Amino acid sequence: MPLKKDQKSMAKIEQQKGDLVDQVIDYMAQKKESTRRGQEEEKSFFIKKLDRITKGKEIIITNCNA
Amino acid sequence: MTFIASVIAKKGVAIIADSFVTSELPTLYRSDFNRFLATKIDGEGHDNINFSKEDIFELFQYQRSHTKDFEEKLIRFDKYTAITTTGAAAINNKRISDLVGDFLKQHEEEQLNALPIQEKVNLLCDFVTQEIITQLQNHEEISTCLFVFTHFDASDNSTKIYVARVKRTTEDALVEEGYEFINVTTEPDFKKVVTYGQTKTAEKILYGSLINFMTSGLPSLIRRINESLGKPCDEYTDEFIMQYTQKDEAIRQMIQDELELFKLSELSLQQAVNLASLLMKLEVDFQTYTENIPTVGGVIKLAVIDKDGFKFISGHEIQKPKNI
Repeated sequence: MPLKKDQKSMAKIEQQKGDLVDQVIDYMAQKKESTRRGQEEEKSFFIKKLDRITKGKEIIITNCNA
Repeated sequence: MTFIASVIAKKGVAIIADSFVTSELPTLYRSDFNRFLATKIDGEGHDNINFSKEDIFELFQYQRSHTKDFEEKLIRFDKYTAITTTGAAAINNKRISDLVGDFLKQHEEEQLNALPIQEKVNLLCDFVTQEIITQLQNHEEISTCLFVFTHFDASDNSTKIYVARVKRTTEDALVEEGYEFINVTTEPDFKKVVTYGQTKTAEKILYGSLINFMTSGLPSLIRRINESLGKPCDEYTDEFIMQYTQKDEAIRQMIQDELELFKLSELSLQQAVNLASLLMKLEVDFQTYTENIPTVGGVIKLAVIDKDGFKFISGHEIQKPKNI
């Protein structure tokens, strides 16, 4: 049975809402992955730094976080 | 720390930034160190303590050290583009606003206005990359830093937001072939409010709490429950659990109900300005009720971009001191 016009537009709105929920979930999952990668990057950065210290290379440390 | 936001309206965009600079230091408390040592003692009465580089990394936690005012974090780039920034306050010993200023001195505004936004972003990234390389050549490391480009297109009243992320880097990167010092992404169209920096309060309002729990806490909770029931299952990866819960209609409906972000379409520019200010006020004021060092605040700069171009609304002029 064909949908009436207002039923069709309601279905379309519901579909759009559903699509947006998917987009937001994907976005949040990507953000979480990006945070995890950032932590890995930080760890690898720290270990590289320790390597340079143990090899006696000169290091200048900057502390300038906003 | 920082709070920066761009709120997209029907016919323009509002942009806001605080001016605090908070330094963080990797910190180790003695009590934590003692606890750590207790786990590492070999248990046979020897003095040997074995720990790895990873252990040392895990020992230190970044703690807020002190806060200073004032930093320019909202910068007019050209007629229809603003830059907001968070992360490292300087690259190659130049404050971020000075760095952008140096770039703008080398480019005629008329020419910049005529370029597509993507090209403008690339031009600034190339310029910043040279500064990064100079800093690394001086054996100084690079901290993470974000340049958020908010661009309004007056021809179709659309706003596009690009984020250029300077990666944390050591001089080792100089010898890596094809190393990308800066990664550029665009914000998805559904994000009518884009926030960076210290955004916990704002994100709870815009996205709700369930979606965060679903992507962060739920997978490990399910794994722990299974383990406690004696039924550990390797197939319960984060991706598997996410896909499963994402299909559940009841959860989807709960997430949808919490997503205030979707109810923000079609804002007037005045509403966008008000919302940007509200989100900033929540971050700034709420911190005063907690035990943490305040990390968002100081002079709040607010601007809009509409068909007439970039315009500061507040925070750009020297004010008469209060109570004098």
